[in-house]
Amino acid sequence: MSYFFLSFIPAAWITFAIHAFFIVGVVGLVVGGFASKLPFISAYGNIIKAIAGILFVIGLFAEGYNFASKEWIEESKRYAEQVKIAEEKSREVNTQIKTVYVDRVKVVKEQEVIVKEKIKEVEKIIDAKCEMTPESIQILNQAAKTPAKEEKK
Amino acid sequence: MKKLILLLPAFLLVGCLKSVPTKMDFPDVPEELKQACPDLKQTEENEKKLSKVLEVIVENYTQYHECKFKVDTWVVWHKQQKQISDNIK
Repeated sequence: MSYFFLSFIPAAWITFAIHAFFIVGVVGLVVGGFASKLPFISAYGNIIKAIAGILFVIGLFAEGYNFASKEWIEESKRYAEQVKIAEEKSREVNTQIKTVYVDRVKVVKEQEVIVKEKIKEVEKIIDAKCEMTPESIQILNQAAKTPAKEEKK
Repeated sequence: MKKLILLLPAFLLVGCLKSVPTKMDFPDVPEELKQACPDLKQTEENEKKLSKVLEVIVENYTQYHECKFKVDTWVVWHKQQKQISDNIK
């Protein structure tokens, strides 16, 4: 039940009170309606009808609210359960993704080491036939540099 | 009395108001993916040896592959997490 302000009262009692309000309201309306037609007690009949009308409205509202609350709580529980499963799945997916990523990066790093070793092996041959000029290094560095947007002065 | 009865549907509709208080936490991302890709490495300007320049080029290629995997992994992460999130009804 979602009657937070009445949480100290058992839910069954509240349901019973709602039913009682509604039934008393209906009975009161019938009795009051009948009594208001009788000549000597018509004034009392009208009073009963007025009070019963209020009880009927409150009772009917509470019946509807009570019914909707039950449905709402059930749906809320079902949704919370789905969220819990989704969060668990999400964690599993994260673990899988992390494992795949770390493995792939490891392979790339290993490849880098292998290629660098190959360069070391033929270092003398490469360096004997070619000497780098500062211009070529500048061009290479320019290409490697992350282009920055020029700021307006 | 008749006016009171007319108010009934409004009262009953209030009882039917629905909202779901539970919401899924935004899924966490593996720490490795949160790190930004560094800039490419530069070669020493007075470097004369081609082998040293090649090493820097190889390091930069490695850097590119790492970043490519990172982007690819982000795409997979988003696709799978979206699928999980969409399945909640």
